[in-house]
Order: sequence, then structure tokens, then C-alpha cells
Amino acid sequence: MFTAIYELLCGKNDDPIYASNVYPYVGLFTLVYAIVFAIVFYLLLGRWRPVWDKVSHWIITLVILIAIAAYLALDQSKSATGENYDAFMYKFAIINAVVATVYFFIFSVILKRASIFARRTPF
Amino acid sequence: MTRNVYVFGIGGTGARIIRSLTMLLASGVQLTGTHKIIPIIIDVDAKNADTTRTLKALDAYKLIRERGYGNREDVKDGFFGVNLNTLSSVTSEISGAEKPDDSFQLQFENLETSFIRYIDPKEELAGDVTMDLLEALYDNTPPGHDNFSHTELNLRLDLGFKGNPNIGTVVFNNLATTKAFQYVLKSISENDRIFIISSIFGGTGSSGFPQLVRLLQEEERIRANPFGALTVMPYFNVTDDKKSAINSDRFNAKTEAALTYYAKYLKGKINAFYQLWDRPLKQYENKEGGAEQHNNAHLIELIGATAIIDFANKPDNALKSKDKTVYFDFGIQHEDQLIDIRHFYDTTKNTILYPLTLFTYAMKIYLEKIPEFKNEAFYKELNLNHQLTSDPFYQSLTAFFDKHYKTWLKEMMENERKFQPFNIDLADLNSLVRGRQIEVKKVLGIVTNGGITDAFLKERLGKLEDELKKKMPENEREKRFLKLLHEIAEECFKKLEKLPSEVFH
Repeated sequence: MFTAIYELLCGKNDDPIYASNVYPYVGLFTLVYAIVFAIVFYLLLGRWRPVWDKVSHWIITLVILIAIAAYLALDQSKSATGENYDAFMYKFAIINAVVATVYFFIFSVILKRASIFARRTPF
Repeated sequence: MTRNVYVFGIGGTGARIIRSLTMLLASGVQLTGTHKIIPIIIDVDAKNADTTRTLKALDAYKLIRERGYGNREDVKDGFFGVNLNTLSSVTSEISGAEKPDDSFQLQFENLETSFIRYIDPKEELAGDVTMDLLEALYDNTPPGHDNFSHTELNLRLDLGFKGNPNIGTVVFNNLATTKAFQYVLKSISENDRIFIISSIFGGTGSSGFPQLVRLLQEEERIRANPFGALTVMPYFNVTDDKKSAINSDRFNAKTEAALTYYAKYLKGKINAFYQLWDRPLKQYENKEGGAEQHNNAHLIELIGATAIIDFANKPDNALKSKDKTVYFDFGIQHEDQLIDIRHFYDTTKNTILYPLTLFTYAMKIYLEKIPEFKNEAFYKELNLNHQLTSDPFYQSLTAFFDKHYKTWLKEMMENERKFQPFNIDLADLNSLVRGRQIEVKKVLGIVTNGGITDAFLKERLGKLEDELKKKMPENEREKRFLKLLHEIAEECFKKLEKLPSEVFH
């Protein structure tokens, strides 16, 4: 599933390791990170105390997730292929950041109803 | 079996005590076995400022309760829980009686004239022996004299009786003929209780009280109903003003005369008689009535309102027959010029001062804290950004807290004797209750328990609103908000732990 998504968004790479190792691994962990970030934001902190529940906090959380997603894509591409950073890797990192943003947004919409303090975040 | 309690407040003092009653009921003071409280203000002085602001407070209460709880009768506790309503709300249809206006005031008729024109509207008595008698009984200073307009025969009745019960008696006698009073008589059922508040040292109250008892008990059907009364004896003076019809040097003499009259005339007519007085410490400006009669709230009026609560809550078997009138006084633990919660006995603390403390926490949170919490989820969930400024419920709630309750507290704080239970001007809620500070706990210089802080309020308001939302549907948002205010006030009280107490020696 992840391979199909990334090949659709990034284009197919000639190196088959992307389809077999990089896309599934990066896709799964990006999804897991997005879920974990949303759970921590909305259910753990968002139900505990009003300490990390405003739009500014949500944006900071998203930026951290984006950074992790981009780093994950770059690092996994480099280590799986054994090559230096190239233009495709940067493109993949940017697209993975966008994918993480979409995941986080979707989980935000789903989980915010179960929150107390972040119920109206980001909107 | 539930009953209605009809509370008649006669004159300026009656209105001021009903004002205090409104504050107590808004704070959630409990009434047992009572379906509705029907306050009825009887004041001929149509522009009396004390009466006007009491009516405004009553109207605000009524609107808040109706929007908050609708016509639900099962709601009896929490802020604005008591169903305080107008006479016209009692029953929709009473045969043979015209429904009065939806007002808390009982209007006299044909009072826009002088006393002599009221007695003799067509000027038929000129030269008659009856006019000679009237001139002998009442001050008849001739026209052209400086004091002509202040003389008894020429007093304008719609400005009150200005300390002249001899005029009030004549006018009150005609109350029975008014349509509104006929409706009162028909609306009172056999199970209802009647309470009458008056002062004994003025004009309207002292003359109106015995007359009102007589007029009510002329109705055979309600003669056996429990009657309670509160008579307020002098607790303030007014400045000397030779041009004024009111002279406080005569307060004591008038009190003595009225008490003597009551002892004979009211024997066997009242079940529970509450009497209040205080050594006059404060000298009010001498205002004869109208918009200028704007006396600050006084502790005595708050205590007077507790008499109504006490009477309403008495079990039937505690009210003896009218032949055995029970008399009540009110005492505090310790004589002082400055009174706070510590001066009261535990019963008053538990029944009156505990709800007032909760209401004061709620007032501070509503007026000062909640507007600062615009970014909190509970604020957005309740749509307060829009509602606080444009919805009549919230506008009335703001007016009640700010213009009525806060002003009432401040007036009592500044009056003599001073009643200062709360430090309402301090921003720190840990210091709200005089005589009991909520301690901030620290370990190694780090605050481990800050008491009532903004962080504490945000957290509790968020969680309470989340719980309330699950229990109450969206169309009960106003009720949910009143409940939220009550519960957050209770949370604050948990931090306080208990009301202050002090052993006086």
C-alpha cells in the first residue's frame, strides 16, 4: 500500500530497493509517528491538563513530526541504497513530510472529539 | 406537599430586604417544600430608587432562571434554582379576576395627586365640617408658606408617605379595591404561606403592615394560612433637614407607638414574628423619596432576608397557632463595627454564608477570569465569544453579577456597621474569604499547590464542562453554564476547605 502511494507521489525509482525496503518501512513508521503524536497531543496531554493544547502547540507538534518524517525518509533512503543524498531522496523527504502532515491532520480530526482541552484545536 | 410563599415588601425597607432575598436565592440558598417564592413590592413611591433597583434585580433573576431552567419545577438547587416569580405566573386563569401585569410590584391606583385631592377629588368638602376635622388632624399650613408643599394635607402621594403613617393608613385602606390585590387574594391557596416585611419607623411600612394583614385576613379562605412578619426597627438615622418631612428624632417615638398598636391589634393574627434592629451608626442623607432615595444595602437587610428563608423552611408543625405567636430575634456571636463570616453562628454559616461564598467565587470567575480564557476549549464549546455579548441570558447574568450582586456586597462593605465577608477587590482568589487564606504550598521553593490559580481554573473548567456536556443536551446550554459555574465554585471551596471560624471571648 505504502509503495503504491509513494510511487504515485514521487514517481517510480529505478532502484528496486525503494519499492521493497524503503517505501514500506518509511510509510509504516510515518503513519505510526503521526498516530502517536496525535494520541499524545489529544488524549494524553489533551485530557490531562491545559498545557499543550493550543493552535501554536499543534503547529509545533506538526513541525516536529514533519522534521522526523523528512529525516526518516532521508535516512532510510541513504542507508538502504548505500549512496549519498541525491535529488530523489530530497524529493521523497519533502513528499513524506506532506504525507505525515495529511496523516496528522486526519488523526487530529478523528481524535480531537475525545480530547478535553484540545477539542477545538486546530479549529 | 409544596406550597407558594407570598412575600410582601412594603415601602423602601421592604424593597431593600427583597433585594437581599433576591441575592440569597440567586446564590442557591435552599428552600424546602416551597414551589415558588412570589415577591410583591408595595410602594406608593413609584420612583423610589431602592424599589426600582430591586425590581431590576428581580427581573434579571427571573430572566436568568427562565432561560436557564425553563419552567422546570424539579430544579431546586444551584444558582438561581429557586423559582422566584411574579404574581401573574401563579396561575393562568382565575375566574372573576383580571390578570395583573407581569410585574413584581403591586400598583395602587389614583395616587398621582395630593393627599387632600385623594380624599376629596371633586373638592366637595370645602367649607364642610369634615374639612375642619381633616385640617385639625393633619398639618394645614396655609398656601404661600415655605413648607406648604411638605404639609401633610398637600403631600403628593406618589412620592410616598414621607414618614407619615397617619396618611398611609388612609391610602392602604383602599388597596383592597385594586384589581391587582383582588388577584392576590384569589391566587393564594390554602396551603400557601404569607410573609410581610415592613419597617416600623417610616410611613409606608408602619401603616401598611397592619392594614395589609387586615385586608388579607378579611378573606375567609386564607385566614388560617400561616402568616409570618418581619418588622425592622430603626437601624439608621437621616441628617437634619428642616425642609424635609422626615425627621429621625421621631423614629424611636414612632416605633414605640407602632409597637404598642401592634401588640393590641395584631394579637392572634401572626404565627411567626421576626424583629430586627440595630444601633443606628449611619446617618443617611435626608431624601424624602423618589429617585434620590437610594440607601446603600445594609447587613440588617441581609439578616432580614434570612427571616424569610427561615419562615419558608419551617415545617408545618413548627408553626404554632396564631394565638401563640412565636417571636424571633437574630444575634451574632460578637459585637463589632466590622462584621465578617466569623461573627455568625454555624447555622447561618451553613445555610446562608456557604452559598454566598460559592456565588462570590462564581462572580469573580465569571466577571474576571472567564473573559481571559478565550482560547480554552470550554469557552469555545459554549460559544461564549459570541454569547457573552449578544445573548440576553448572558447579558442578564453579567448585569446580575456586576450591577446587582457586586454592588450589593460593596454597599454592605461600606455601610455602618460594615459587613465585609469577602475581599472582592483583590485579584487573588486565594484571599477572597476574609479570615481564611488559602495557603500556597512550596517544596524547595517550587510551588506544589498554588491554590486557586488560573491554571487550576482552566483545568477544572475544562474537565467539568466535558463531564456536563455528556449529561446535558446542547439545547440546555444555559443550564449547563449555570451548573458549570456552581461546580467550579464548589471546587474553589474545596481549596478553602471550610468557612473561617473564630472563638470570641
